[in-house]
Amino acid sequence: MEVCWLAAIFLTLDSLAPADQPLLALAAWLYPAAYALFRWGHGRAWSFRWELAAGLAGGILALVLTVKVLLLADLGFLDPAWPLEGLARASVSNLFLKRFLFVFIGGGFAWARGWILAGRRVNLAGLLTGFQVGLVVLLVTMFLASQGPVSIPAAWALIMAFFALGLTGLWLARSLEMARVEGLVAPRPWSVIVTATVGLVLLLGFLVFALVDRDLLNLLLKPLVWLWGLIVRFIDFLVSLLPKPDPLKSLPELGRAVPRAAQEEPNPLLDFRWVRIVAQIFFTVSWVSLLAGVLFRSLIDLLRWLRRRWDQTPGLTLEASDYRFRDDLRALLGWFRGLLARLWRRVLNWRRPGQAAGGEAATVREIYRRLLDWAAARGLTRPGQETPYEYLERLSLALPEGAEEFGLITESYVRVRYGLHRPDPAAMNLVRESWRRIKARPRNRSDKRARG
Amino acid sequence: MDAAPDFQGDDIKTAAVNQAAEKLIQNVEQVIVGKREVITLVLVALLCEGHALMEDVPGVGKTLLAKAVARSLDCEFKRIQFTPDLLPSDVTGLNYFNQKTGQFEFLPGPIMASVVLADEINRATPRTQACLLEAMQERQVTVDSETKLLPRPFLVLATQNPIELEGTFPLPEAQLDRFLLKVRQGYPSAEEEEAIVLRFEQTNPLDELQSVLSGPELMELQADCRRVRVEASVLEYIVSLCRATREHPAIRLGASPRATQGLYQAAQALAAIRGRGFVIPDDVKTLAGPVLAHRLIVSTEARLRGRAKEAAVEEIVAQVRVPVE
Repeated sequence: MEVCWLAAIFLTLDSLAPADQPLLALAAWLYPAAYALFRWGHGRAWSFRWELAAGLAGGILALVLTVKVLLLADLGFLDPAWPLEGLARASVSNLFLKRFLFVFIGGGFAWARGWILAGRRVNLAGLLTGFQVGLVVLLVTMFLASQGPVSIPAAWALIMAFFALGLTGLWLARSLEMARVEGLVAPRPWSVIVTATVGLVLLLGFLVFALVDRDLLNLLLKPLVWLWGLIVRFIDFLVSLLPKPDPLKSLPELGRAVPRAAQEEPNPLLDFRWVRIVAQIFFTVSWVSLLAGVLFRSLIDLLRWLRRRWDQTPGLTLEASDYRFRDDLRALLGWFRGLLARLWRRVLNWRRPGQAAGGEAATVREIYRRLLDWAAARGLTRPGQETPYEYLERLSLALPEGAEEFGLITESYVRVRYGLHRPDPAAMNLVRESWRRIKARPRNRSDKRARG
Repeated sequence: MDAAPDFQGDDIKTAAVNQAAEKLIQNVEQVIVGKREVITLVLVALLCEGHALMEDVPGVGKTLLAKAVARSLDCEFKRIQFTPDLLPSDVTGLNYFNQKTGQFEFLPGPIMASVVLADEINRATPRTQACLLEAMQERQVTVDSETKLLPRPFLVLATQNPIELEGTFPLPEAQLDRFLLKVRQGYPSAEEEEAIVLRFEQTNPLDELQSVLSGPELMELQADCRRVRVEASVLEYIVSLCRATREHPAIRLGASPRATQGLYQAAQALAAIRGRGFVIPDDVKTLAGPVLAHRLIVSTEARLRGRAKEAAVEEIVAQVRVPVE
């Protein structure tokens, strides 16, 4: 389902390229590549540090390879000077630079998307959200492609495939979830599910084919056209900010002539005045809203104070309000403080060597710290006044499948932290194994809903 | 999953304390139905060489609990029924002239026992209550300028009724501060009440109760409890809790350093009872209310608003950060 709308975007972009250039849609390979790499790393229970490094390194390597294959295919693969050649072409040709950015940004997005989704367990809620988002992106892409000199081969096939895969997935996820909730009730037979899904997709496809035309799409997507124009202008604005070195006349050691930059026609949409106006409106509205909110809540606090001081204030009607600006501000500052503390802890973890100072005891404490971070990322932050055992009870209630591992790590931490015990190697292995099992749990939307 | 990991540590082995505590609790539970937490708190006071004040409505078993604990110990037990006409000499003892020998002799009072049950302590006059101050704190009494040491171990279990205020004399703050903890038994549940009725139907199980712990054994256990490890951050936590009571806006008089010491020792005892050689913050949290609440004096405004001391302590416990990563 995701590959459908990603392919639609890349096919649209590819239509902008000259005919003799390779298909830009091939950059969509980064999506399954990222997914595969992430799942492989998870199978080996990589730590967060290794995951991040692999993601970044793999992504950069894959993107560079993609750029080379798609945009610099005329140069030899083993030619060491192709990066310089690429820079040279980017410096003299805006079109090349734009295509490079499209491939890099689009490919990077595909890589990131594949990486993120690989870490999530697919369930009904996630599938539904993905379906909704994907449908909007697909429709917008199709419409825009139809408005310009762009032709997407087999566009209807993409749409049908999207609906088929999406609806099938939704139906299956819903059936599995119902079966899980109801316990002993068996899910519907697969044949019934598939048959009903295919029939529904065919019916929907027929309706779309028969009823939806360009005029209807124009009417529905008119606001999006305006927004798309803004986005295009913003991207061009960013592109214009990139430094352009002096074009190289020739590269004697390469023995090739640098192609001249093609004369580009001015884009009538490149009107930065509109971008500035919109940004000004946006920020003004935001600040005014924020100030209005602050004043409103402060006024409510003041009136409540007045009400306490004087029993009755003639001519004044007060509305009860549960909001307290001071509490909101304190909560916001607390959230920032917690965020900074977590970031600082991450920085400290990067600086620490693999075997922390203080031996195994410090490692147990480190693992418990990571467990706290892991749980906090899932909405189960430990309040400062909660003891480890109280937190364990809440954590096990929210995430019962990890209760055994949580319990073992917490018990070990309590002994090390308060009893100043030293774990023997066997105990340490158990603790590490528990942490590995916890980390191997894929992130789930239900984790975020498991708030204490 | 494999068995729990083994850890190496050099803390005190609390198996003896844990077993003795379990034995004593089970013994008391032959008489008292369903109040294991209260019995544990009294046991904490016992192991800390502290004193316990039991305050509750009439008929819930305060005196019975105190008697059951006393009977479980192979120690001398005396009961003092506090009345308004009780004199200090009735508690501490007095010197009387023996006509036979022609000399003054000391007649020890009921305070000169290992376990003393001070029943309805708030019915005695402040003058009589004050005679317990020295005994409870310093474990000695002074009669006619002569100091006499009290036996070891020495434990005062006091009871009082918070409902009837006529003819009573509330304990002064100095007296309350000398009680390590205050416990409330509360009403039993329906099942427990049925069990009580059935248990006391034919005989009084208190009459058949045997002792399970001797005085020297108790003193050894007390020494073991004092060796329970308290990590520096847990000590800071205990101190923070007590100091927080002095800064709370609803509290006029906060916990004293004696309270801090009491909470520290009580946490050690509770950790030993639970079979641990070290104190954890959960032990401190469990004991904060019973150890600190009765020592506090709430402000007038808070009292008029009906804010209880226990609620103030709960609020403080919910605010002070626990030492964790």
